[in-house]
Amino acid sequence: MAEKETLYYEDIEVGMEIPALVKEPTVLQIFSHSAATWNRHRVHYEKDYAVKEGHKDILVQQGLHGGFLAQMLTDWIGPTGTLKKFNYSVRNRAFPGDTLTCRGTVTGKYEKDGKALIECDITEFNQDEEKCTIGSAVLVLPRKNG
Amino acid sequence: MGIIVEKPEEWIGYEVELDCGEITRESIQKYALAIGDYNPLYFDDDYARKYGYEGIIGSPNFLSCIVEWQPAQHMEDLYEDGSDSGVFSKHMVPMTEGSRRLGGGQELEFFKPVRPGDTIKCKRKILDIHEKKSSKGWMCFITIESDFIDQHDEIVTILKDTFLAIQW
Repeated sequence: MAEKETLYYEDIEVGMEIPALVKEPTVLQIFSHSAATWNRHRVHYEKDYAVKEGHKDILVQQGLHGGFLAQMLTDWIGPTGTLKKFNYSVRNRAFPGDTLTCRGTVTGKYEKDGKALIECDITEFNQDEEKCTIGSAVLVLPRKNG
Repeated sequence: MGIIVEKPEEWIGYEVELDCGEITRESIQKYALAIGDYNPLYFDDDYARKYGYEGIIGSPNFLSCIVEWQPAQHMEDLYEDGSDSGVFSKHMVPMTEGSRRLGGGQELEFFKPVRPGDTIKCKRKILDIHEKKSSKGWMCFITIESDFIDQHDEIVTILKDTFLAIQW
């Protein structure tokens, strides 16, 4: 697999879009997240229980929504960039079979304490273009001249 | 006198320290696999070293999303909905059995990567807890700060979690 070109601070413009990331969570994936986090909350693996609570199916976990958005960011910045801050909040439920698209926009760029920082707003949409998860991030990028 | 939590105001400022134990390659990688994130920083030590890390690192919300650290609760002690209970649980305060818990968001700040072999302790403090009546019933909001600290006594990640418990 060809290695990604370095994303430099100088390459960033306020308003630019982050490459979107599409995820299609399945029952298997939702199970895997609960397993990996030792999360025994039934609403994520037991459909009858989820329905009893008023949902149409098991729910995608908050952390899985967040993991998708984080991946969008780390895929974009590559191994030379780092995440400094990352906030997210789930506003709408997601279910197995949904298509979730993570998008983001750069809202600021500035230098602070010798570091080159980028701010962005991030949103995860479902197949009906409803906002499932909203959030923001601060990223550190390398500069072309070090 | 609270509805979901008996005396919510008495819990503000409550602190616990969790022993999260040793972070393993397995736990980091199983989490990344669950996200479907195959970033070689989480799987390939040589690749990670090429970019200045000591070896593979954990993905951004790995630490903040582990629900139950060792030793986890006995099945009988969980709430009926399967969520964990007690002061070492994610939401810390005891709640009525009829309430249902959900995550209300995470704010994360990263200071250094988490690595296999790190021994992590988590200092948690309830910043705020309050109940609110809605048209459907009652809601309880809990905000907790969690500082994940490694074996060098250095902060790895600071998390601010909001939890909701609803009863209607």
